[in-house]
Amino acid sequence: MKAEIALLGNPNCGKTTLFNELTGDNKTVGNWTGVTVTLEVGHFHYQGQAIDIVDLPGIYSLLTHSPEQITACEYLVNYHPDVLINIVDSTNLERNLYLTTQLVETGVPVVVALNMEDELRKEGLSLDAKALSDRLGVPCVKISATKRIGIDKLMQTVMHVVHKPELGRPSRFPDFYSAEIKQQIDETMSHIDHKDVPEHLNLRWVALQMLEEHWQGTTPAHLAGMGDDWELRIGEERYARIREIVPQVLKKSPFIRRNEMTKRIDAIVCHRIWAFPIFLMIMLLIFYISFGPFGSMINEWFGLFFDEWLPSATHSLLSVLQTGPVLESLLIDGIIAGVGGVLVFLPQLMLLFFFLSLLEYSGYMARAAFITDKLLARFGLSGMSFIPMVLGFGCSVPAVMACRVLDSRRERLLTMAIVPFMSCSARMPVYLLFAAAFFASRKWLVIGSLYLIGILAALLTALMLRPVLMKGDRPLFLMEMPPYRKPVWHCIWRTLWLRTWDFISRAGSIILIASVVVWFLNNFNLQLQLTADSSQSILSRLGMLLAPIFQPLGYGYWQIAVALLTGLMAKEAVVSTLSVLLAGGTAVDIALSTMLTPPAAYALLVFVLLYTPCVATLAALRRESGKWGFVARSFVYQMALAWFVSWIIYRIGLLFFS
Amino acid sequence: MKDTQTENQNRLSLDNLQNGECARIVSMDGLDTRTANRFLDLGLLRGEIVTFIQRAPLGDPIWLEVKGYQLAFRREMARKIYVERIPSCPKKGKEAQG
Repeated sequence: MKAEIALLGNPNCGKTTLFNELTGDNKTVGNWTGVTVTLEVGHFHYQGQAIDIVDLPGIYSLLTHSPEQITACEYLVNYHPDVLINIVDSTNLERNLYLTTQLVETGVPVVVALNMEDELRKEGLSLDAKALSDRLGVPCVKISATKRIGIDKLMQTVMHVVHKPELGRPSRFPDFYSAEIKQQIDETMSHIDHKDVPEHLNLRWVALQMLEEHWQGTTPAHLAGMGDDWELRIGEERYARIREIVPQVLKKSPFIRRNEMTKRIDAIVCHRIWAFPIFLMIMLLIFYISFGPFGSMINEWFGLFFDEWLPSATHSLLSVLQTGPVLESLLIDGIIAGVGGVLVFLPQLMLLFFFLSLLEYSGYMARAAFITDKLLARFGLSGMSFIPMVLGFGCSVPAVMACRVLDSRRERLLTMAIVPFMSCSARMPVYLLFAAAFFASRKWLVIGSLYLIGILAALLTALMLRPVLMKGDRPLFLMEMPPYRKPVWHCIWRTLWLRTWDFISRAGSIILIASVVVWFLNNFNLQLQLTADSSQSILSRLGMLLAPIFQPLGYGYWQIAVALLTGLMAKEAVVSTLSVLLAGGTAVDIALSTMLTPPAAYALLVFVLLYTPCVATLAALRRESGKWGFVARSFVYQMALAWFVSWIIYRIGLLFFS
Repeated sequence: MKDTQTENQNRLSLDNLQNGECARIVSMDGLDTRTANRFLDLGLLRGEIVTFIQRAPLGDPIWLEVKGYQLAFRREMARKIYVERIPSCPKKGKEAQG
């Protein structure tokens, strides 16, 4: 029989690292009835035993103060994992144990994994796992998830508990509380109908949660009118007990001071005057390395491969095989032009992804949120929104997912509504193509201005939507500032690889299909006969239907209408579609420069910037918001805004150019 | 609750501390329940000793050390948390019994 294990711990405790260590890449996303969000499940074998491991969100307590905490609670109440692994950041023991003291009361077998114990030792401290285990009544194992130490020992302990669940439960209910609270627990228990409580849960814990008013939103009748500070009093007693335990298990001071290195770095990067110049420098440097001379150089090598070497090699090969012009056209004008046109940008995107994950892992992202909070507060956002917004420069999908760091549902919706306007890296190929064709000398001015328009659109949208979405609520900026950590290369490499692979697999699936479909529609007419005249093709008919929409914006060509349509699958597809459609002997950029005026080209880029990034983003919005209505409204708003702003810019541009 | 009566108007709120100063939290009654409960989860409660690290470059939010880790939040909340300065920052963790 499969064993089910759940991972639970504070945010930043190393939970995801351990999850990845245990499961490798073998994971799926699962829906759990009774649990509001999807959870990741990893599958692996340990000593012949098949194990499913559920990655619960990072939480601070089992009380339902945040969407994550509600999710974790729902899971524990409705499901029955064989073992709960509670990951504890040893360098932050006091606060992490608060959640642990709640978990050991639930009745679900617990194994505590004391992570980052090696870092503690660097500070000259040592943690007594045996002593902690005696005090909590559950097994405790020291591990280092990033250095892959102690994971086997942890799994052995977990397997013991799978076979003998009582090992993972304290032999009696933990004695954290004063006589008064205990009496209240007894009193509350007598009011609970046993049939309402799942068997695997400890009735005393259910009573405690009720006292704290968090048992599925009901308040027991006998507590009505007794004041609502039970939660605070119970919390204070838990912390008091933890304060007694910590000095008994930690040799030497439990106060881990911010280490000297972290202090010195923060004195500079959070400095009253230098903070913003440094912040801007870092951002500019990242974009300069990724898209400046260095990135462009690599990009050109790749371009040579896809534009010249590969087509001519394919051409020679096919002439030898004598396969005929149709297959050759499909391969060269369809697949290589389409997929290649997108893959060309891979090295530059990898550089961008690399720097963004470096910012995330090192701890600088939290500082950036800290220094920008006040600016974002003016728009009804908080510094926490800054992280999804910056990730939006990479890709809108992880950016939408990163909205989970935000405190409340309303804040999440507000930030989700604006991150699609942050110019994602898939839009860059389109900018680069048009910049080369129209604005060669002012390439960086044009691209920079597009990024700015994107940020502006995001902020103004936030300002406009705030009254609707926040309903008077003000965002609660509560942020843990982690110590700077040296980058753990295999973790960064894994993130980089996952994002790169996502891009490649999209090129190999969505973009490949789009390229073939576009090629087919472009080379066949309505009678499904091969036609050399692309103005007779099915695609041109479709494009002609849509083109009038773009007439007022200066780019009412059917080829462009079709490119924008395929761009909904992925923004890079705008480039691949134009490559296929305009690949009639001349280079795409030259073909474009004969079609459009510079104001129209710029207006088109603004449209590309602002309209819906891609179907994957819409899917992410659906998943994270849980509502189709939100997705539909976002889509309509993005389309309308893109058209309107593009129109204004085209009109203004005409004043200067005519 | 009992703190509210004994304290007078002369109270010092958390956002008035200087960089590097340590203080004990004496009252968090001014906060709404939702915020107070979030702080409880994060280990910021009555009797706790905090070290003020710094303000953000624009003056808001503020950054503290509590329970040996670092936490940042906005001044509007810090204004509702009252503290008393303690002369020297603690080296041991046993002092915070209130």
